[in-house]
Amino acid sequence: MSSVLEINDLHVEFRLDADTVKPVNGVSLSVEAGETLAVVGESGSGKTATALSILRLHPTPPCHYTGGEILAGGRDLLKLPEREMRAIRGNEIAMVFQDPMTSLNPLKSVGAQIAESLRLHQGLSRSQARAQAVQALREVGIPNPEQRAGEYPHQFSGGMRQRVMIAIALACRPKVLIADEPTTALDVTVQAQIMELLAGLQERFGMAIVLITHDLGVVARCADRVLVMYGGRPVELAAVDEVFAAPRMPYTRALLRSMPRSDVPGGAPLDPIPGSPPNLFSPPGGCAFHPRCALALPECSSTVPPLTERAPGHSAACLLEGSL
Amino acid sequence: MAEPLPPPLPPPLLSLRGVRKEFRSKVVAVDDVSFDVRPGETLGLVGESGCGKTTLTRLILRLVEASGGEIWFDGKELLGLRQRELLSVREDMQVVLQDPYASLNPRMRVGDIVAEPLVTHGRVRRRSAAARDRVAELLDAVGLEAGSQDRFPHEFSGGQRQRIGIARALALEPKLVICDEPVSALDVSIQAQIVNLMKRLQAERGLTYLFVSHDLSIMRQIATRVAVMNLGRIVELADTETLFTAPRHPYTHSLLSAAPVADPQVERTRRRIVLRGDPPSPADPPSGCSFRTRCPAARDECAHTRPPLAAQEDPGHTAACLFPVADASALV
Repeated sequence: MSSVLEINDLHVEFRLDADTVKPVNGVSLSVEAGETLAVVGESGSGKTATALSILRLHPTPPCHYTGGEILAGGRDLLKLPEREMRAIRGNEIAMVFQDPMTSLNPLKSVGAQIAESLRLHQGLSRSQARAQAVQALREVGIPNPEQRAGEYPHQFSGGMRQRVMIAIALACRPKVLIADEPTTALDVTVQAQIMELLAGLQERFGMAIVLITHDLGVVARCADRVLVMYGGRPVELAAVDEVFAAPRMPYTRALLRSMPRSDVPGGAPLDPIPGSPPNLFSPPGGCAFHPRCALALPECSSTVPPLTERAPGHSAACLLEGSL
Repeated sequence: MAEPLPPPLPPPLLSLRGVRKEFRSKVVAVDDVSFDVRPGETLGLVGESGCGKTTLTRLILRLVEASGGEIWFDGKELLGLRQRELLSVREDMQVVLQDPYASLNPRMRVGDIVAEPLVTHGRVRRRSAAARDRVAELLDAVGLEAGSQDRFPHEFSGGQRQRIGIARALALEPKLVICDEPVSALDVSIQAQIVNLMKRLQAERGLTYLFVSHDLSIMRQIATRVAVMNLGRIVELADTETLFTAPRHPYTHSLLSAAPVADPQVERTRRRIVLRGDPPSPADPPSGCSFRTRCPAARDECAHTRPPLAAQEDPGHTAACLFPVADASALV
């Protein structure tokens, strides 16, 4: 299978008045049709900055794409004029955001918001687009879609609003869906419904999903492969079972150990990672994880380890060789 | 010779009896809630958004006035107390809030934030040597340097800010600390630090926690007993291990089943209960059992009868269901 989206060595900078912040430093990833790649990290890891960069949604200034390429459909998205970029957003590559209330327009009916992208990208007439919008609502499991299409976002529950967001994103049958914490704002029973829905739609339409999340439980349930990010850099990339069973980067291992689990009895103290995630304004030298790493060597404070393949399909960025 | 009787349980530190809150909008946020919190334990309160768990903590703190029922704390009934009496009760009852960014005044120095309860209750004078000494002790207890006193909240990370919030809650040496989602806003790698800190402080200081969270994995690690809340009511209450391994209420089963586990092998093999439809609106609750509209095991009777909390096999285990379910696979 060939990848429908490929990022090679992406670098992004935000040039602010006093400082320059580098939220994305050399991220590479690829995702195939029908596959779900989870991008996991804590706040400040660069996962959302990477996701927004794919569709060039960061305003310039302050954002500058200083290196690398983002390949989709044989083109480098970083080189496209804004006009052509608009034909890709919501059409070939679509996005679902965390908070469905602030991402929907409160003044337009949900049907009109779905129809908007169909008219723009697919050139449908008003009535064709309206019919398609009703169909899109039906596909995401919204009851009474004919009636609901004429209603406004405030008339929908949180879970139903996220279904509307997914309907908008999938209306033009994108090849890639970027889902940025799509279930984080939802209650756990509703989260399970939305994950189930996304998996069903992916099976049906075969789109690739880039799932941005901090929740390792969601990763375990949904992902085929996982990219772990820390301090703006990719630190581990592998199939989901490999990442959980045999992590090769100390951060990944420490993160998994620190997680409280609902399927394990309590009692023993948890195993936290000391310290805090790095501050992007003053990142540590060398490996960004070294100040918190139990296995750090003196070299770790000066050398940035590249992401290198340790086993087929399993890469890690750490000076320590071999499995931990 | 007669066997010696087991020692009697100590009286509960906090006891709720039939507590109810109806807002002016007629929304009943908390409906006939009764439970006890024993000294030294952590009672977990788990539920989804809008179930009334935060309103319940506010009723106990009397930040919101209850519409009915009784709340007994340390031998006093709180709902009948006048403001002046309430102030003295609150010395023994403190709160840690969810958002460490919103719950610390950005214009106050950390030393003043932590000392504020001491000043309010006349224990020390503001910025006195005694205040600084006490604050230094408290900061040390939560793992922050004494030098943090002169800094401002924005100079601290989320986890450090939550430590400041905990130090403030401990300043008056309270008996009960109400914790409303204290780790939900923190990064995963930091949550474990704060959970461990709270457990250590509890052991060292004999604290009692009422711990509110929507996160079942945190709950299993910290709670002694867990109460599950749905649409303003307690639907199940049991020892933590019983609740997680042998729940009886279909709502508890579905919550446990919905929560993803950080293990892909487990996730692939387990059969999940996927609920149909939306959670009902608290403004328009269903008749009878509040969960029946989404319950995979609902029968006709569930629409007519509101099930009371009834005793189950294990001692201390209660569930509010007409047809309790032992085996979750019956619900899949």
